[in-house]
Amino acid sequence: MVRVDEFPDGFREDYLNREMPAFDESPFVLGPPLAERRVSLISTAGLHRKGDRPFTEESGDFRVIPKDLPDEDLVMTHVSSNFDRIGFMKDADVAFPINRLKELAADGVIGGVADYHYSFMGATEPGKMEPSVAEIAAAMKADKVDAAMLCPV
Amino acid sequence: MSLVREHTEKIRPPRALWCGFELGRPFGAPNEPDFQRRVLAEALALLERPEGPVLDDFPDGPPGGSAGAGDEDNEGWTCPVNFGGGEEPDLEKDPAGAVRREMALLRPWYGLALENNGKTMAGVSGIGIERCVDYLSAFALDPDTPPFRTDIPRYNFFKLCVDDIKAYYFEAATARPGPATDKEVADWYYGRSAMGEFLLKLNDICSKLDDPVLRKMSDRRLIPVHQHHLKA
Repeated sequence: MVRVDEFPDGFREDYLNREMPAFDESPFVLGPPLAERRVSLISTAGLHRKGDRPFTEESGDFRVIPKDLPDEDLVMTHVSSNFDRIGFMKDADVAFPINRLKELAADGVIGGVADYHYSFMGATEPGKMEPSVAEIAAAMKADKVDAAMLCPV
Repeated sequence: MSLVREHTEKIRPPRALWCGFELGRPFGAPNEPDFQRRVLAEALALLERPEGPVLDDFPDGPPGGSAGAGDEDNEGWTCPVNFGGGEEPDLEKDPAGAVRREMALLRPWYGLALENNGKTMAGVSGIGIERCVDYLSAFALDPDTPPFRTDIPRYNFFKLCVDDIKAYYFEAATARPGPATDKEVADWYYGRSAMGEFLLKLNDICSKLDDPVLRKMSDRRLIPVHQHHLKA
């Protein structure tokens, strides 16, 4: 198990008390019904296409994952060794649920699946990701995305 | 999605669903599509909430319970291979030999894992797993050994070699059906394999180098926090 409550004493408290980005307010917008929304996934699992550049420490950059990338071509180069990878070894959807998203679209629960999805490597100071986020937002607009699902590990 | 409620409470995103699953498994459990779909649909449904911020708790644990060795109805994971017996190369003199011997014993199980999973996580170094062993062995003898790839930083190449070998061991070790937790497999890998012992040695070497990035990696990246008691 890699659960926060099972981290060793000391480390667990440091982890839980880690400084987080502070925001003055929580932006909150309403949108179309879920059944009309086109959804994109943003993972922080350090995922990318096989052969794409591996993630490095503290770079804040991202990789693009096309909607129809075969499961076997999705790999992980997250720098941390403190989370479970056995689940992802057996089934990528446990961390990056692209196939589940397609099923929800086929069932009419959501309107559609974006053409492109994204991954960061989460062990990065959040401020370093900010330029990338602006870039992704622009790409999502072009992709007609109106819902983003952030998937941590 | 939130896996650490305390962090989400501080960040206050507009809509979040907290799930008490293992880190690394935000949608619960592998090969459980119905459960994964339920988690995903519940998180997406928050988009229709008219007011926020919203932080909901997903009510259930993953299928199969927490699947730990301490659970009543789970006998726990056991390694399919016994590394003992036969002629064991000296890890000090011949780390590559000791690791290759284990990898050969694991090979049939790695093959089964490839078949069952339809993929492998090993291969991110881009040089093949044999050469990963070569590099780490050469590094142990002389840390100034030039990395086999120069298009990425040395620490990055080093870590990818470590990750490829770990993926090979972990995939082989979990090829048999049945639940296996990261902690169980890690206890075996870091505590009872020649590769684990070799990694602890590499970690020790990195911790004494002038290179601050490798030193930092030895502190935080190579050995999981639940195995830090094994460090020198």
